[in-house]
Amino acid sequence: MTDRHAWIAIGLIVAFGLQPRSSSAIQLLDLYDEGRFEVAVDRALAGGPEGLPTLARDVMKDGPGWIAQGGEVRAARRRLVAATFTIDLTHRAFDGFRTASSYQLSQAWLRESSSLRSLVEWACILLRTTPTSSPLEQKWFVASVQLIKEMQDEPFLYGDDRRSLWSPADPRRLQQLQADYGQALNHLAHASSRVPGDSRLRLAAAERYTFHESWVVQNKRELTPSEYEKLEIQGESLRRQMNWTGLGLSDPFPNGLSVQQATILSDAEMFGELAQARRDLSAVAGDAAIRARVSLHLGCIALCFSEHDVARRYFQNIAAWTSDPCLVYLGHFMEGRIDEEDGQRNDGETAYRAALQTIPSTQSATTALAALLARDGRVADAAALIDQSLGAEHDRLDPWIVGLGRGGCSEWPSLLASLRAGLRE
Amino acid sequence: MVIAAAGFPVLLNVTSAEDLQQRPVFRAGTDVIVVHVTVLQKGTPQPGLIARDFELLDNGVHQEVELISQQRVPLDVSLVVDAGWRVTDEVRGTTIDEKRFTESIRDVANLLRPPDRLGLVRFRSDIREDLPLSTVPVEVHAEPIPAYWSALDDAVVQAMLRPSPPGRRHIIVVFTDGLDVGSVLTPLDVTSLVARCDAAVYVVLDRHRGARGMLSSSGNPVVVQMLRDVARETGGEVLSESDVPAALKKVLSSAEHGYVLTYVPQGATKAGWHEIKVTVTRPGSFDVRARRGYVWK
Repeated sequence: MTDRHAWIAIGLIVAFGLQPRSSSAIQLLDLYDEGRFEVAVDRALAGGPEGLPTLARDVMKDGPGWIAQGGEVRAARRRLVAATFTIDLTHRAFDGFRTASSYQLSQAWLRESSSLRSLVEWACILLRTTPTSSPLEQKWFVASVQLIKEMQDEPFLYGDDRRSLWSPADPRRLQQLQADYGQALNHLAHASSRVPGDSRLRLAAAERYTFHESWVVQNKRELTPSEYEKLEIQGESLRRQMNWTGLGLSDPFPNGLSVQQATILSDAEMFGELAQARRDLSAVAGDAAIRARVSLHLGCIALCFSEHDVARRYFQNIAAWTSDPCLVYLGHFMEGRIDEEDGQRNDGETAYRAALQTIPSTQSATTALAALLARDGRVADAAALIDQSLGAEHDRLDPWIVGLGRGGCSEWPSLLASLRAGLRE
Repeated sequence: MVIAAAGFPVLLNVTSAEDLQQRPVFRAGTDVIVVHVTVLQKGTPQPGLIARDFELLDNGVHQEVELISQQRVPLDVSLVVDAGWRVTDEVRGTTIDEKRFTESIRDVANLLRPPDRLGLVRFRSDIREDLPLSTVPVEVHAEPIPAYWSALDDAVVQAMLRPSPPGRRHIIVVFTDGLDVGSVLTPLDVTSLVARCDAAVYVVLDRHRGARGMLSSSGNPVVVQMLRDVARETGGEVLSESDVPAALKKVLSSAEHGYVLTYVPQGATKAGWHEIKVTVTRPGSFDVRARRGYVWK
């Protein structure tokens, strides 16, 4: 290659290669159809979060034509290609929120990935237009529910927010949600209608009121049964007195509500939801396909209500019911935490070490075990553990970080892999 | 030779001539307690004090102290930096600010001199060691850390539980906005572990960028109080400097003009927690900073 050619090549690279390219929706769908999944999603996101609304609009506009292009025989597959592309793209965009290295970028990804819900719902409607549901379509519905769980978009998933527990028939709120979400309300109901009786969808329904579980566990804000009973009475009395219909995280305190009263209402709501979650999860606890996950939830909720022995049993069962290292890790870790709280330090150490055997050098168990050892005066052992953890390569997120949030120990990677494999066949 | 550095009985392993030159001469013995002390008057470090200017009470019992060094003790400076978006640009450590961040660390390293060591740990939900304690001058390359949760409590405890060798003064400087989301440990856990820490913990609290949303701009009050307690109990301080090198300069100025007192506990039961109280007996009002105690094992 001559110098001149080299400069032209560099110029072309600068002009087209380094600039975010806005591929047309059709090109992206073609790429995805060819099995070049990562390339398609990378290109779709190359324009950054700001490019997503336009892209979503283009896919919804051009997608039906692209699906019809292949004729009736190929339409079913193309529908699935388009639908899988939408949830793959949305998950990656939401990952942008979780992994962005600046606040502004993180918020932009959050805002724009939320705007993609209309695209996901478009795909949902696309699949629901066919009379029967294929196994691959069923996987799509399960994966889409997992995606929305991780996005923690309650109206999208459940058709309402958690306040419905306190105010089930507030027409103003429902009208507002209808205006904001359009058809993208209650995706779980849509999915369940296509995949009736699916264990993971049953679990998603039962997880509806688990929102506060991780916060209470992390902050060790446990209530004893008598404290909860007192809180329930105080909360109910205040709700009646104030004609209260649910506090909600963003509601301003109304005039006349003291901080103490607001705290009572907030705590009553939080623990009331956890009590409801326990009832919902107990109803699906017999389902073998999900019982490890249900046990993790029920153990955490039992811990929230200071029922340590009950919680310990749930956590101890997890390893027997699943081989998922994330769940097994959390079972051991939580057992260690209870043992430690109960003053059983040797048992706590054993449990934390079992967690570290499951996923070596993980930060959460390392820190908890190091603290336990240091309290026993074994500072050198604690330091050695910390050194080892800081020096290790971590190829996965700490289960403590992902596992106790909504969508914890996510099945998304395996669900997506399965969908992609199905499309390749 | 065994020396107890503020409650941590450890083997003082003198291995080389360089070691001998670098380290102050510590009294040999099995039960020696080492206490690093900073004395300020109207915010200015006070040099020139001698052993009899200090009174040290160990669990309320007067102790005969030896002033082993008025010279500058080699420093181990562990920076613990919140790499999240809420911390000032200088310490953010993101791709965008990587150049400025690296410059800041270089400025910090320039404030130290061999055989001082500098280490850097940054955290969000992940705690990452970008630089293990290394003798200055050092080079730092900090990869971006995803802006997810903030495991402040865990990062502080990890730093506190990594002791420095005897003969060195360990200083931990925590840069934070005072918010913690997602730690395994609670603020109460952190304060309960202070007794196991041999370092002075300084906290640079960023109030300028403030938290958004429900929490106040000065961080979570419970977490901030924990940081104040940890700083006080370890003989450190809470600073509100937004400029990293300026904050470090202030910290190092205190540390450089410090005193190293040693004593063999007399008249007090050895086992368990020992409360230390150090005062200056000279006339005048002095701000004396030293760790508040140690656990004897």
